Amino acid sequence: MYCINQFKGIHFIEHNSDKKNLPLLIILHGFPDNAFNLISLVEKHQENFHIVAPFMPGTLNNEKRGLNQFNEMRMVHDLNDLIHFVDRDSSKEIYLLGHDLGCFASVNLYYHLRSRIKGIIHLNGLGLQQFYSRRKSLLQWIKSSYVLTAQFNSVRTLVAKVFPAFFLNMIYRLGQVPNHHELYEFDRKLLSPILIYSTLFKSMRNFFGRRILRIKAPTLFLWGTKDRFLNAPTLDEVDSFYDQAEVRIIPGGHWVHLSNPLHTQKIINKKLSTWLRMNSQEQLFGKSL
Amino acid sequence: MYNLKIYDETYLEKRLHVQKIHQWDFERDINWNLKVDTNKYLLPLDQSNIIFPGASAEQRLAISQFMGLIVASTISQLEMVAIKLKGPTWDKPLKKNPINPEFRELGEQFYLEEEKHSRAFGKYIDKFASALEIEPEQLRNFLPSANKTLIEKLYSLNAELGGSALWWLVAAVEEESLLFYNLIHNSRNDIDPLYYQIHRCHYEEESRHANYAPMMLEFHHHFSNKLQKNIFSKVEFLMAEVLNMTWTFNQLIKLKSLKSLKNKHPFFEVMYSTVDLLKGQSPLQVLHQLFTSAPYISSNLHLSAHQHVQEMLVRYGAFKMPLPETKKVVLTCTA
Repeated sequence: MYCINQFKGIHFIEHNSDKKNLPLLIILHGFPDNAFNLISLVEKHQENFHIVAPFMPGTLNNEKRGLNQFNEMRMVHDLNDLIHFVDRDSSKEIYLLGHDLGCFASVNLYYHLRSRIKGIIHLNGLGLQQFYSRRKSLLQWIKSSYVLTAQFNSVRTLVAKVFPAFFLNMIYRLGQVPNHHELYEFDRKLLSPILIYSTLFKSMRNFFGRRILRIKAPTLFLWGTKDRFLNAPTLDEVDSFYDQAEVRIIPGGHWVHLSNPLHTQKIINKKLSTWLRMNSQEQLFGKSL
Repeated sequence: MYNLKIYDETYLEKRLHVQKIHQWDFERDINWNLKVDTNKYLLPLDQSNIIFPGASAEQRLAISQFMGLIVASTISQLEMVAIKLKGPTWDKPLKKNPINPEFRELGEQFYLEEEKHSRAFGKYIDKFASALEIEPEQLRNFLPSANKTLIEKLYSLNAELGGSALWWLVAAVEEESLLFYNLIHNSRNDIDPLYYQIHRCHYEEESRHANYAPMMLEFHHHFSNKLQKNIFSKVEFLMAEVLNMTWTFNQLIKLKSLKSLKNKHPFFEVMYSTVDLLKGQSPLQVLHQLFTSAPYISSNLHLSAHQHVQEMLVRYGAFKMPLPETKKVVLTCTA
């Protein structure tokens, strides 16, 4: 059974909080979305993990949100604090599963927790520095042009407050969310984190001239072929950021877990099983030594 | 229709497993100690001697052996071209759209097998040259070669532009080689044992990886941009057909220089004597027969005649050349 808890104003779904031996699975949703839509992906593994799926500020209820809440560093610190809260001994291994903007957060969490992160799954999403590395790609500029328009307060107001249903409908259609999905109930709260585009865009300046921060944790990129917002990563791009990453492209849209749920679940389940098995073997060898 | 499940990692994994456990070893599984039997046919021929009417038993044997060497060299050379163009035709598009690791591994296995096949047919040509007591290079001068040709460069250019013309050619030639094996198998008792053995090994692996080239076409179909999909991909098979025809005729013209070797070995003398058999026919007649009824050659010129290629032409809406239909002929190893 999943329950929704709260810590320092962050709402999060939690499962198996009482089982101390289970590794942590942090699930980070994208935009405009909420934490519920990713939980079903790991149903098969729900007894193998202590699952924590935080909501982006404002997406569960209409609490007040300030620009500083969407500051990249603030968000990571909040998530870090949340992890300390749910795992007070800091003893659990951590796996990260993110979609879209959730992947930015995943990568930033990795930089904070490094060796505790045992595996990362990105669903149609990537780290901010990796996104910045695409600055010379015309196609990516075209696909991400909405990020530029979202820098204007008037545009954000228009999207989130004046015509939320119109824009949500357009975003979900482009993202190939199936017609019957409850996201089409057009919950305007899901547009609350639109401010994040402003903070992330500003954060990208920090990457100018900065060396690549490589990620050592095993990583899986799972991508829907018809993503209208983000290009699928190339092998060369992935190899320059990750020590051990694999890319899988399957039929589907930007919401690959909704447009192709069975295939997505199958791949995620297999990957999580492999990682769990490998890490338990490592622990076994460690103990016997 | 071949299975084209390029996104199905479970299916691809199984295929890879099957290919790996059944693959043959170049040194161990082909008996290279066997000597080439120059009294045996390499390929069965049509009983009616359509191209070489009135050929004697000795001439038929020489024609069969020469055709066998041409087929061996064609397969070897085209497989080598595929390997040489691995970068632009396979590695680059798969790095750009890394569909899944299994598809990539299957490709690595495909190239490993192709390289082995090319080497095996090349080694047979060398052994045949030794049996004739001539230098392999002397024999190779008359056999098809694709090394550093303009055609190779055109395929490379097409691939650099995101095209898949080479995969059309590979798909057609792979299907053709399976067909050739069946013809050889039906006459196996009259075929040189080493030649048969190589074709059998080749057939085994080709039939296991026969759907890789069609899967690459499917991959291109899924990942091409609109311009490539709507224009280039429609004419790429045509391009493969034209280049293949140009190449085939270029190779056949090489036969004219047989004269220089006619005193080196009776094989070349007999082979040269077959040129006289063509004299009663007009060039147009010979050309028509090459397209319609010459065993192996007409099949090579009709890339679109193969069943799976036809299915793919329909699937991708690709154009093909309007060619006269091939006639079915009975092939045997007897005069």
